[in-house]
Amino acid sequence: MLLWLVLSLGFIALATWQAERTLAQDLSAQLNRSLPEKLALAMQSRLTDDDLSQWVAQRLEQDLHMLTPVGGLPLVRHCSARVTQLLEAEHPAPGGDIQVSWNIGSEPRSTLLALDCQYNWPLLAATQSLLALLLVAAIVLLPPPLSHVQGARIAQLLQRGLSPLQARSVSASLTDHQLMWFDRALQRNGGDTEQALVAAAMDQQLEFDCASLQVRVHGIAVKLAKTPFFYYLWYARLRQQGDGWLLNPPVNRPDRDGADSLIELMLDQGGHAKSINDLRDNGLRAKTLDQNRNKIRDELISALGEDLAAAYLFESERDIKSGRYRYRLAVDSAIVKILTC
Amino acid sequence: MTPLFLANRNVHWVALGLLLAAGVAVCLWISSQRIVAPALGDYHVYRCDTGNAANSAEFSVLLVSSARAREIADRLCAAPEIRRHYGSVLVSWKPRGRLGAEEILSESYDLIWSRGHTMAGLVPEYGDFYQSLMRYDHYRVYWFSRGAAPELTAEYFHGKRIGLLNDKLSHTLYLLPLASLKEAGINFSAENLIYFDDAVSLYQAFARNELDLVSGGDYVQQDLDIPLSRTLISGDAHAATLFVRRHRPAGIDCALASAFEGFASEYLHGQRTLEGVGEGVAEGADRCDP
Repeated sequence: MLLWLVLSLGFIALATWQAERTLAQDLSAQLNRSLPEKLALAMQSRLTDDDLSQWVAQRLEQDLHMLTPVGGLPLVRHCSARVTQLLEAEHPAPGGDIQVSWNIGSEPRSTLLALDCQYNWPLLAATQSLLALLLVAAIVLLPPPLSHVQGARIAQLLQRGLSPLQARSVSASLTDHQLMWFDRALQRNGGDTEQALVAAAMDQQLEFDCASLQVRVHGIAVKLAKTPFFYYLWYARLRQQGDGWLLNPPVNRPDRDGADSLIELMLDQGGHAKSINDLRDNGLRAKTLDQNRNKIRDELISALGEDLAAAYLFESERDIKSGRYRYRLAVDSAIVKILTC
Repeated sequence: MTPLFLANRNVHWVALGLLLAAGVAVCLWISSQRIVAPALGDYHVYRCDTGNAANSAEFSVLLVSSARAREIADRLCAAPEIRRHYGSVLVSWKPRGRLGAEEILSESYDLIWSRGHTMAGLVPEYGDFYQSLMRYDHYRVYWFSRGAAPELTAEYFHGKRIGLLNDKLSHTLYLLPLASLKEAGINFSAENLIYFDDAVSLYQAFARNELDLVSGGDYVQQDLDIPLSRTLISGDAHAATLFVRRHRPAGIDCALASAFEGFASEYLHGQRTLEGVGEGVAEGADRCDP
């Protein structure tokens, strides 16, 4: 609105300036063709004659009193020209709109005229504000520019093989963190950008698929060996069932009862007989727990990198009573999904 | 979605600039105007009405200078004798050389300010159409200098820059000054004679100190308005003759003469003689004076 107003005023000023300029130019060209001879004839033979000059100036002003402008638009109603200086030696003072050069004999003279015009203001305002309105509309329709950040993001995405259209549409929503997931997903899935985008855009998620013994972290599949997979799943279940903490049993006294749910899980899903037997024989041992957590950790970090994996690993704290450590999944239970198990 | 390159910041600014430039161009284009060629009158022509609207006849006068032209026309318009026969009076002025033979033959003017030899040069039998009404004689022509009064001696003129008009019919600015130089025993070809195409340029050059000597009438002092010294070349130069059309209403000669009253003494500083050859002024000047 303000832009429109400013543009309108600007255009009105420009239009009046241009109208007056072109009128003065045209009149100047016409007078420079016809006037020199007439003035030379009228003013010949006399060096100075103020009385005659005044009379000639008056006559000239009468002839130039009602000038009719013509243009594509009738923006100017009529004009009149005033004689500011009829007889001026070679170098005229500035100020006249129109300068006519002529000679008395071989003596150069200039006549200066000022042009006064009556403008058709309503039409002038209407046309110029309409023009301004069209311009404002065009400016509004112009697509907004990208921020530097978004521009850089698009460049990054283009580099990763996305189509410009995709890069453009995704660039606005993709965070740096999501881009890291995207990169990791792309690296893991062999360059499938579509799938990588889905993974990157996904909410935090930890999905267990017992059919394929895979975990999908944030949509990225990570293959684990059977035993660590079941340990991971077991910790996830614990997390879903309560606060998820599991106290490491003392080194010299394995936890026999605690192993039951894990043995059951492994039996159900076809765990390694060796591992199952080990649990049956020895119960939950701190060493086995540590080993399997470390395997999970190594696999996730090798698949996702330390930064991305961290959130899906284990957190620990020391139990004040026993002085031993207890562990649980760091992620919230809500993001854990267990399929076909 | 728009193409990606349009969303580029630089492209965006360029596009904005182009849009604005297009707006300005359209604004300039739609607001440019031309002007219908104004009808310009002739400014070397002055017309007045006598008040006799019923009569469309025009009395036309040709002078060589704008000096007093309008005053003469107004006097003619006010004269009852002129009003009786004419509806308007038209005075125009143009340089002597611009008068053409066809204008004399077709009797374009009722009154012509000229000289006998000029008229005869154009149309030897001009007397068939025009006759002399008044002669202006005893017109004084001087040498003017910016320093001390000019002396009519060869020593004085030697080395001086002398301005002349390049018009071999000009009394004041060609014939009389050359005659004066000859009288002083000066070899023209050896001297520094500078020719000008028109009198204004000549006097302007003199005013700018590009000339040491120029000739001229009393008007020079008046027009240039700088301190000058002068020496008389001739006190009896023939200034001009007023020619009147033979074919004219009776009884207007006195009105014509009185319209030029004072013209000679104030501007030319010469003396006029009413020739009185016309039928209207059979007895000469005495008949006209109140």
